[in-house]
Amino acid sequence: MAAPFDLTNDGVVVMIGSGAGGGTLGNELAQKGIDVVILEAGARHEYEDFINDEWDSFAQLAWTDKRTTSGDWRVAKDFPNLPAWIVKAVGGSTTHWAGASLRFQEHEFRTLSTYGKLEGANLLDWPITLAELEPYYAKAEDKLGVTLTNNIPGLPGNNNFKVMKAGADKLGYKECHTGRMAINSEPRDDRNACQQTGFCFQGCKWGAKWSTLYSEIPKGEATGHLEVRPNAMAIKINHDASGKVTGVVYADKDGRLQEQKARIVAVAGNSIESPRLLLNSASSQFPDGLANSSGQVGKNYMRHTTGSVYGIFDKPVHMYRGTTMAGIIRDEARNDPSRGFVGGYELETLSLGLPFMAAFLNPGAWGRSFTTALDHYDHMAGMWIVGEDMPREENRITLHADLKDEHGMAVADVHFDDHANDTAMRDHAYKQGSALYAAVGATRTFPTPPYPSTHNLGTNRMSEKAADGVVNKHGQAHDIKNLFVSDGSQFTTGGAENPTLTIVSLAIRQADYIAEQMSAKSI
Amino acid sequence: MATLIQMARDIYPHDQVPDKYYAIAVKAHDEQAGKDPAHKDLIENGIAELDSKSGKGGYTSLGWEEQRVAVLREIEDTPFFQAVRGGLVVGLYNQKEVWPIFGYEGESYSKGGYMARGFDDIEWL
Ligand SMILES: Cc1cc2nc3c(=O)[nH]c(=O)nc-3n(C[C@H](O)[C@H](O)[C@H](O)COP(=O)(O)OP(=O)(O)OC[C@H]3O[C@@H](n4cnc5c(N)ncnc54)[C@H](O)[C@@H]3O)c2cc1C
Ligand code: SF4
Repeated sequence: MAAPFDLTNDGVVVMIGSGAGGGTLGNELAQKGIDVVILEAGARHEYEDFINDEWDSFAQLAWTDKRTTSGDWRVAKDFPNLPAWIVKAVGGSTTHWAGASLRFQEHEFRTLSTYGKLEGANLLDWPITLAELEPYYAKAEDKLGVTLTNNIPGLPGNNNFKVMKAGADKLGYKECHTGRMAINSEPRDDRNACQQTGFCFQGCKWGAKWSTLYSEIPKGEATGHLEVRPNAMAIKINHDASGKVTGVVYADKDGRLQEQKARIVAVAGNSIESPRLLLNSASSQFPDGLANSSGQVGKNYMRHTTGSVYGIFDKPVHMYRGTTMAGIIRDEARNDPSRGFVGGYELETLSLGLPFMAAFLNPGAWGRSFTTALDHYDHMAGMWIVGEDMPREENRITLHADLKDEHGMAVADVHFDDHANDTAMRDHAYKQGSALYAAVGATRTFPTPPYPSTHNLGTNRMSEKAADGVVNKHGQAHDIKNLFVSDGSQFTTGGAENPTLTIVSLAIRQADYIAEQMSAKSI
Repeated sequence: MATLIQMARDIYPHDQVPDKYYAIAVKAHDEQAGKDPAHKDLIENGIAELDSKSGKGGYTSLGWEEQRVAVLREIEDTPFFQAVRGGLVVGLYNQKEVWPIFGYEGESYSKGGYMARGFDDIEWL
């Protein structure tokens, strides 16, 4: 039974956000018998209610509250108020996510040591190593039911994958398969098998894809130790004179302010909202915001070096049929500076429906060059580039000086400029992607600019030393013992891999640490 | 209206898409203009400017798409052009009736997905 907890109960651990980080941490703690309240800004929609329609689903689930943008990235021009495509709903972005679940590579935890100092990049080694995280990666893969791990068969290749694979073979790529996907290829863990519906980005109506909404949260609720409170937008974290956090002020479904008392607070609102909340919690004792003695809260915002390549062929492909992202090439993920950049990138199949293709193929473009591309929509294949981008102090989340949301909370501004390394990597990937499709007979290819960020990372980063970052290797704030960060904002650097498996692994690890510290009464 | 429809087609020309879908896509401006005088001015003044830049017979009298596009290029940074173009992105391409023309099949859950309906039916590779 879901446990409702009293506002004055100061023994609970409060999570802010119910996505990959918060939803996982909440369930893990509940399984250990620890009482948890998850405050979630969005509503609760069960998976049967998801909509097989791009714009309608976006309206149902996406975060559309106002944000602003600045910087030289193209998103700021094309989508000035939509820097990120992420979700505001129970389950967070694990409702919209595609399910690609990859481990980081060893060197990606040691970027400063491996790449050296790079002008204009704020590189730093993680305070943990791959070896330390491996046991948790294994637990996370089992939890998510990642294909090609734990003897789970891979998904069958759809049309879009078959085109990718044929091109990969022609280019001599060695590692191309249907991916490590948190999507059931056969029924597992009370989740159905994938029916190749092709609306993974709109929420899986079969519940075949892992999401905290229907995987973690109901399990946590069943323990009687977890309450998810939807439509509860956290606005400020309170603390006492000793500097420990004591509770979270949130606006409830009617817009009324409430305070949930807490023994521990874990922030997991994704990398734009988490720093926004910490900055907005400034007090006379912490004038620059909570956990910000390093000045790093909100900085080092990363979004992966992305872009897409679409190709048109003289014969039909129907790329939108079937799993959106079950196809990957890993050969370019290595670090090989001879290509003209450090770090690497993955190539993954991707498809958009016609409405999103029109909006994202080349935003702002018009005329026949653009429309003849869409004319061959059913002859198109597509892939997404996801590579490591450089952390930069200038790329950051700040509180807008004037604009406020409906609760009077300053909106977040997202500033991003590409680093030269990002641009070099993206150009390389465009070239490879285009060559791949050309090798299978594409008559035209499109180097498509990045979409609003689906991967948002780094804005409360982990560091060995308190001066270099916001949290320690357990995601615990350097400055405040009972304050944790549990989402992708704790990433020191971004790696080339889609982030969620790492977010989940860190959350499982963090749950162990929190439980230990609680029983030792040190928090 | 005729000018607006022609303009919509010149912005996003798809020869296989009948006029009626462009008409539906720009109709929202009519409706908004009815409620919002500022929007009415934006659209009416925009069309007037387009016509005046197009010479004696106005925009629709220019016979070749290239000629009309040349005029559109002159105004493409104006709020009028951007309002019309921006509205079309959703107004035109989000019409379910238009999707089959492009070979997009839309909703698939109610049909059991593509498991048995060709998710891997590519034959030419
Ligand atoms: C279309 C799409 C495809 C993706 N595909 C992949 C993929 O294939 N592989 C992969 O690894 N990743 C993918 N991602 C990214 C993945 O979804 C995120 O990395 C992951 O969900 C982030 O977890 P999180 O816990 O940081 O945040 P989220 O999952 O975004 O959850 C944050 C939650 O916090 C809530 N919240 C925010 N602020 C507040 C507040 N002040 N008070 C209360 N609640 C708040 C939000 O409403 C939200 O529900 C994809 C994302 C999208 C959008
Ligand atoms: S393709 Fe598979 S995982 Fe994706 S939405 Fe459909 S059933 Fe779910």
